[in-house]
Amino acid sequence: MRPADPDVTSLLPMVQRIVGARAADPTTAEDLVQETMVRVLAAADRIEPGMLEPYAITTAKNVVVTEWRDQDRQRRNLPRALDPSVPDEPGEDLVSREEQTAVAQALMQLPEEEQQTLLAHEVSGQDTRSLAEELGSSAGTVAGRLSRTRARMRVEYLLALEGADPPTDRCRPVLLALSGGNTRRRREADVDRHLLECGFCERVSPPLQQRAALRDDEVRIAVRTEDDVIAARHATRELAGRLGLPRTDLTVLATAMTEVTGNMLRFAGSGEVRVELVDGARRGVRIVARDAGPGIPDVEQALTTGVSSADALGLGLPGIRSLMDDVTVESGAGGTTVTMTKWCPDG
Amino acid sequence: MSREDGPPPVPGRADDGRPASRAASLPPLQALERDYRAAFLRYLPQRREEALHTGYALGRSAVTEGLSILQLAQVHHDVFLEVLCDCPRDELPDVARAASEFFLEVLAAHDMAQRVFLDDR
Repeated sequence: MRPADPDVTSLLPMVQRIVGARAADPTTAEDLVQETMVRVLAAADRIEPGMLEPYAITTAKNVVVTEWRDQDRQRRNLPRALDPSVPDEPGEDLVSREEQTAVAQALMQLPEEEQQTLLAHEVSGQDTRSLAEELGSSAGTVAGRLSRTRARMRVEYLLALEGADPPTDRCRPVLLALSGGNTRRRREADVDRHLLECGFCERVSPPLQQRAALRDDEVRIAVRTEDDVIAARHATRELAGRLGLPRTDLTVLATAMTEVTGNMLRFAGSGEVRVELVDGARRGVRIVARDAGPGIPDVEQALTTGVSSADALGLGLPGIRSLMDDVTVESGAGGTTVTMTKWCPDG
Repeated sequence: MSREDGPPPVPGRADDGRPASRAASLPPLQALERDYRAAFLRYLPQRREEALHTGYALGRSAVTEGLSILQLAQVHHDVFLEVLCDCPRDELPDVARAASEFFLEVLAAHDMAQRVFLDDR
């Protein structure tokens, strides 16, 4: 594959004119324009320099003619088209068209080179090894690039479906981190806190979160009621049990989870916890609890035993600190994040 | 009020962790024994997290009410003995295992308080 013709996107107005003059209605015209552009993009690396415009003109005309033929064939075959199956739900066709439009719009948001690589792999079926040879890279690197491109494509698709730009500069990086499913990037982008603060991202991100939820070494639980505390305790015990921790450590983890979620319900009303297995230089279990509550005015004081404590026994945050190996508490006007890790005794 | 002072709600007890009105007439130790028996019997058949959570909450409530770890152990063994007396022989190992699991949860708050105390020294 060679670098794409730089004029691909500039062909769009011309293609719109050609198709618009021939299509029956604006909606059909829009679909045919997108179909044309996808075909031109897919073939761009095979076209001789300078021949892209004639190719686009011919493709646009062919796409329109194909549409006419299809319509004519459908008319002729209409009497045979009795379908005893259940008809589509009203609006299903509209939804399908919207999704196609969103895919095309998302594709156009990608850089040229990423478009080319993605189309070559997904549309033309070119494998990563031959792509790597053309790009002077390794198959693993190409696979990594494709993975990142797909992650970005998912985000742009959701934004296109939403039909609006994200309200803040942080939204796109956060959605990208969520889409990529990389735990470190999620942490760096502070995804969980942003989702608590940003209504737009909270609305568009569920498909990305469901995808992320497929990971089997991580559990996320929204905490709103006492039942969620019980679910979080259970999830912690189940996940940590895989590491072969002694039962007393599982009880310690469930205790820390109970204290942190109890504080969450009491002081912030709700929040979210994530439990994940850490499998790096050391193995362990990490719990990250976030809320968007009023925050803790003095974290150091709150971590100190017996300060202003209703039960005067220093449970809660001091208890969590005593139970877990590593505990950090970040708190401000935007809420509180408690990150705590229990390491395996054998490292 | 600072953030570290929030005990989780105790099932069957008032929001402030003290025994609810029905239990208010009983001394703390007797109220604990009654609640302990109910929670442990609820844990035995299905071993669900809800019952373990209740056990933890009972233990935490005992800590805040000043009941000692010895009193907790006594209540546990009294209730456990009642259950054993009615238990078929072939179920004994399973019931003993369940009792151990439940008792760990009950002691967890005491364990935490002790760790805090030792950390603070």
